Amino acid sequence: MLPQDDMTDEMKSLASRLEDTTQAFYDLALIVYNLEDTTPSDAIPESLDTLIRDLKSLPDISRKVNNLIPQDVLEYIEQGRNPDVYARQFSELVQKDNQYVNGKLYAIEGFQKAFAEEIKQAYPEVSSVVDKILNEGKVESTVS
Amino acid sequence: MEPPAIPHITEGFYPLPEIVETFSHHVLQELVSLAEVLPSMSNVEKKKKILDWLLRSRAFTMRLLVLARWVHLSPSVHRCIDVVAFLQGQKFCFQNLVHVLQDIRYQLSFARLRNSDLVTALDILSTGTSLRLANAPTSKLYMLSESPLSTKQILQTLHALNMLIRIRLSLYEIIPTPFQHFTIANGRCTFTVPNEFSVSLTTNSQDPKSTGISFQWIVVDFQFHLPDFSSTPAKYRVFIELHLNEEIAAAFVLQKPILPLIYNILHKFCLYQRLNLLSQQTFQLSRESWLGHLRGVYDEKPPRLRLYYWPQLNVKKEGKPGKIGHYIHIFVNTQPISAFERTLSSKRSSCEYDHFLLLVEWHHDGIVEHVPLDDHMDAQHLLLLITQKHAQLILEQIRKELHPNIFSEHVGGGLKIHVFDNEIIVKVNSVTGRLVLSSSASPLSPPRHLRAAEKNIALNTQPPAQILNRLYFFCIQTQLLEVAQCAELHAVQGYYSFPYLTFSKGKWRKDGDSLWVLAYNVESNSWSVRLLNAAGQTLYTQDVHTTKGTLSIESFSRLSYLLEVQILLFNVQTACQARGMPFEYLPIPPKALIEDDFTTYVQTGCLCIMMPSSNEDMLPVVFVRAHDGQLIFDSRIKGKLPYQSETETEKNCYIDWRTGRITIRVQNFSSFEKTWIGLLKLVALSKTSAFNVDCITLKHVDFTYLDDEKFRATIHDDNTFTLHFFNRHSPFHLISQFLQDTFSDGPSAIQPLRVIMDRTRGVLVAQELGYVVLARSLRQYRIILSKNHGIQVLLNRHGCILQDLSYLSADSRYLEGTQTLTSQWEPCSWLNTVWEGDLGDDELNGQIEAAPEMHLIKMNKTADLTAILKRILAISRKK
Repeated sequence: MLPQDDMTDEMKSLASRLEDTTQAFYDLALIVYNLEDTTPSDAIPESLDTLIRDLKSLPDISRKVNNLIPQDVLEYIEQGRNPDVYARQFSELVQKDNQYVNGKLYAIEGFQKAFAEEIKQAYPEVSSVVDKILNEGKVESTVS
Repeated sequence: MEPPAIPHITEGFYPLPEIVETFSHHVLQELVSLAEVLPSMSNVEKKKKILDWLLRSRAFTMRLLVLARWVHLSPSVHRCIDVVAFLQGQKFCFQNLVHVLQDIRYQLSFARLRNSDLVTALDILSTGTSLRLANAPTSKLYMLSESPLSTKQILQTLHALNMLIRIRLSLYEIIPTPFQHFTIANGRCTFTVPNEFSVSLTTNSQDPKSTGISFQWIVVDFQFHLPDFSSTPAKYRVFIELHLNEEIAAAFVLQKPILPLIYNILHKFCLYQRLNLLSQQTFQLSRESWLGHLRGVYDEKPPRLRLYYWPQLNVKKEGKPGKIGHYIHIFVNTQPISAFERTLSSKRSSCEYDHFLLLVEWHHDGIVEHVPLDDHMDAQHLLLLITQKHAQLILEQIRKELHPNIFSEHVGGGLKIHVFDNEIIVKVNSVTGRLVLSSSASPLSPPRHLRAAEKNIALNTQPPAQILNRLYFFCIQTQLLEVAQCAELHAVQGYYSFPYLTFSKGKWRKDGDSLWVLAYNVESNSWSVRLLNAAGQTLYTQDVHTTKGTLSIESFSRLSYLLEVQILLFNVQTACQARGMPFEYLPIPPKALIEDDFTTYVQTGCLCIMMPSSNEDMLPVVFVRAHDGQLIFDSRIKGKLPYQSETETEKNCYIDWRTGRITIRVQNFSSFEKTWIGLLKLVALSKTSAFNVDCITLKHVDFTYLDDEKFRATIHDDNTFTLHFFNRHSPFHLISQFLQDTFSDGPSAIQPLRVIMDRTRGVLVAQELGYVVLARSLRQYRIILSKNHGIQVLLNRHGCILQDLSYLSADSRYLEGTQTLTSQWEPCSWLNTVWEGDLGDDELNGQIEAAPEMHLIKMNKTADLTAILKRILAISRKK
């Protein structure tokens, strides 16, 4: 389970209200299902008022939580899957791609050196240009 | 300096407040719609509708709750997405770099200078010409000269080669027997083995006399002559030539004979090639026409071929395939050299070679049978030959196991089972090994029962012979039922079980529920007629003798006719039993009656009856037949009888007087018995010696009495006789009415009539003399001499009494007195001397005994009454 420390109060409030809304739906369904002559006459109106009140307050609470949700996560939840899985897979993907690009960069640097040496041997007259290009990169590094 | 920030991606992202607001609006909108729809529904539907909405909305709320709890991770995930996008961009840069390098390499390949040809330049500049090119292998220096060989030279060379080869073969080579036919032409020697191969040899040596030092054979050509492999592919020829030349070189070193070696190699090669061809043909057959029913197994070391055919014939045990019991084995084997062949061996026809042979063994039922393999036989022919033999074995086995009464014969490769006028033909399919049943009546479309039997045989649940037995009996039953229905017979169930089939008609049911049936024994192929009672017990049974005709509707009609005949004969038997008369049933009528046999398929039997007869006028043996609802009785009269016409028919009786044969046609035995008794009496009359018999007919017998008096005895239906005298003036008319009851059933029935007539004739003489004669009975007569005078004649056992009527006894007078007779008799005074015993003839006087006081005379039986009466009446006439 991912940590819950970074949840803000607004987020917690929204979650709590959504839980209340869910419970309201359940209570009303239970009353309707067990509807009999002995049921109090004000049960349904009370539950219905509670439900409507919760539903109306949701937008106001959610405006304080101004986070962007990726479409993939929405699709995940729509399909009934766990969005935490999506988050974990994405973090793994980041690590994998980072290592891949790092390897590529290392290989390209080695190729740069070898390629420069070959050009110097084949064309001695252009050695100065090659050194200039290489120094340009170094100078930048030194400056930084 | 800080590195530049990575791009921030904003596409595909949705703010959480918008999502929640959309959800809230959507749910509330649905609630409003629900409120509008609910009033038009019933209570149950309302409840259901509300519950559905609540549960669905709750599900959406749950999803939103999951999203709310996850939303704190969205910034981190967002950053990860940005990093992945950036890294993806880096990957594209690296790929582009590789592509650029490849393009540079490709473009730089055109920035090159060609290498200069320094060697050629050096040659040309130093010498002025290209010496290296002139010395190349393709220059003209290596070409042959243009002077060809002349035709004469060629022919001379070939001729020399022919002579050389001929000398070598005739003097120095060992020729195996198959190679003894060879031809020498065109500088080569060709050996041909029929149906196998031909090989051509030549030589490059000059001295035919050398014994292996310098003379060497060279194989130059090879051709196949196998029946199905006439063309020789080039690769085969090249391979064989190389291989043979190598072997010749090896044998050359080892000083071995060359020609036997060549023959051995090629012969074995051809055998294996033929085996290979058979294998290919087998595999082709197993994939085409013999698909699923043939399996070929080809082994390489040593080469041999096994053909497994008819797989479903393998013995199955407990549902598992059993051991393969039949297959064809084709292999190569060596045959020993016979002594005869060794004796005939010579240098030009040697037996010193390998006698390899392609053998075929047929394994079946634990037996190995050798099959000769023809040179032109291919795999299909071989299979057909073997399967035909196997089919014969199978059919023979089935034939042995068939029911003994089933007639079957081998005809045209199949088994023919005769079922009345049809045949069931059992054949074995040469490809599948299945039994194929067909009917001669409908060869193209076999009936359903044949197909069912065929299927049962294929399932191999029971032995085929058992199924065929059942099929045979079923066919018989089917045909019988069909033909019987056409002949208006119906099958009777419940009385008999297999192997009997019973048929009957409605009119054959007697009173008391007794039933006549025709019973057919399917196993013994015989018919019988039976009488059953209500309880199903057999009261009477009689076998039927049938000829070899075919069963048909007509045959059934004749069988029905026979049963009706049997019913009539049975009635006769019953009557005979009641009367205690012996009888015997003859299935085949005697020869004398065969011409009257009205049937060709069914011979009607006859009954032989011994009539109770004490006389010997007629044969007691009577043959009884039945025809068209009538009983026909045949008998004979012994001895010769005078007849009026040769043949005579009277009502139900026919007689041939010449042969004495009598035929009586009646409805029942009682009628016959009555007619028989009448005939017996009639014949007894005609056999008498008391009278002269003039002629006899079926109605009467004509007699002659003392050569001048003819009369007829006529028989009536009640077996009584009436006498009739043809002479209208005959005195016997007077007593004819008393003569009706004189006959009896004894052989001497008519004898008393003779006695009576002899005695009464004396009395009746008076009528001839003009006197009136009164007959009171056959014993008492009165001769009226005048109005008041008369004589009484009394006939008794002891003789005769003549008496004057006036002197009758007191008893007689008293009786006459009571009857108040009007006349009174007066004594005959002129006859007084007669009463005293004087007749005027000494001879006649000796025959009488006088009683004067009673006015009577007595005579014994031997007295001549006629003469005495004539004498007495003469006296009366004088006075």
